[in-house]
Amino acid sequence: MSLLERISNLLRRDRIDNELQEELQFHLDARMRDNLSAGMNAQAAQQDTRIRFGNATLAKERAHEANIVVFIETIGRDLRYAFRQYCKAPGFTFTAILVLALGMAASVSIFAFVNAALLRPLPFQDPSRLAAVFEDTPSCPQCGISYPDYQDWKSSKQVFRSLEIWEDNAYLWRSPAGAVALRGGRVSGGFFQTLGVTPALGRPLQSSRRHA
Amino acid sequence: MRTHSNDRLKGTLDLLVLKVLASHGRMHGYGITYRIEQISENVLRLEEGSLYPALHRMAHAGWLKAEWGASESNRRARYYSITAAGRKQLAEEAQEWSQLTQAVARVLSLA
Repeated sequence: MSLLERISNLLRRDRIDNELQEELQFHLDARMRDNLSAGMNAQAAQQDTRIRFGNATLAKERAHEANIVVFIETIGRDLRYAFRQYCKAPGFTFTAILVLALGMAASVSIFAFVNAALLRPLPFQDPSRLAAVFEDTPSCPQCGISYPDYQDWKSSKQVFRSLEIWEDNAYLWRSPAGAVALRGGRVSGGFFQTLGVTPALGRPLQSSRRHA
Repeated sequence: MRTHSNDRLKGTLDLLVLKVLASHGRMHGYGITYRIEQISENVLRLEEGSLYPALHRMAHAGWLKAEWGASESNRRARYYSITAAGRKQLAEEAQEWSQLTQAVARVLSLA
């Protein structure tokens, strides 16, 4: 009997019970039929059937126990057998473990990314009301915008309560040890207030200090 | 001759079932009971219900193969047949049995 069959047997006790019941009933009916054809009257045939069969409930319980005890014993045996097989084929085992490990690592990192990017809300105040705005032209899809365009969009104030811009760039910093390349960004005056965060260092920018 | 019930058959039920299936091929539980009683001229009378736990246990041990099939009267019945492992078990148990009976016979005749 296969492992799969054993597990399904364990899980579906009522199905087993029905099958066992059917098997025992077949026996009782066959004995009854033989008794009748041997010339017994119905009552005697029934009584003989019952006596010969003995305790039907006990028979059922015992048969069921046999199924479960064997299942538990064989699970242990199957595990030990699997372990021995793996020891016999270290190359296969190594490959299998490696494939499983890589698969798990890939799933975990993809989930970590999806969780951070899509599932967890952005770490800003009221993230559901934040939107990124681009200029879209055939030659430049999702393009950044010019500063005059930004000023026009900002002053119309029809869609957004506030509109801020940012730019990502590389800078050269003249350090005591020579020039060092740094990544940096420039943001417009209301940037931190709009996102509802404060800078880790220094003071937030004030809109009044913005220069056009 | 008086009949012997299960008490005295304890431990030999497996042997009898395996032997019957080895000689007659696929049978259902009632057929096995019938055959044992017939051949032993009704001396060996099983408590018929106790046959089924034994059949299930032996099926799980891999000595028997169990499957549903149609009976002579065209009813669904569970049929058992012996496996290679079952034949090996039969050979072992038959040998043990004959050693035991020979030993008992020697004691009875010589003691």
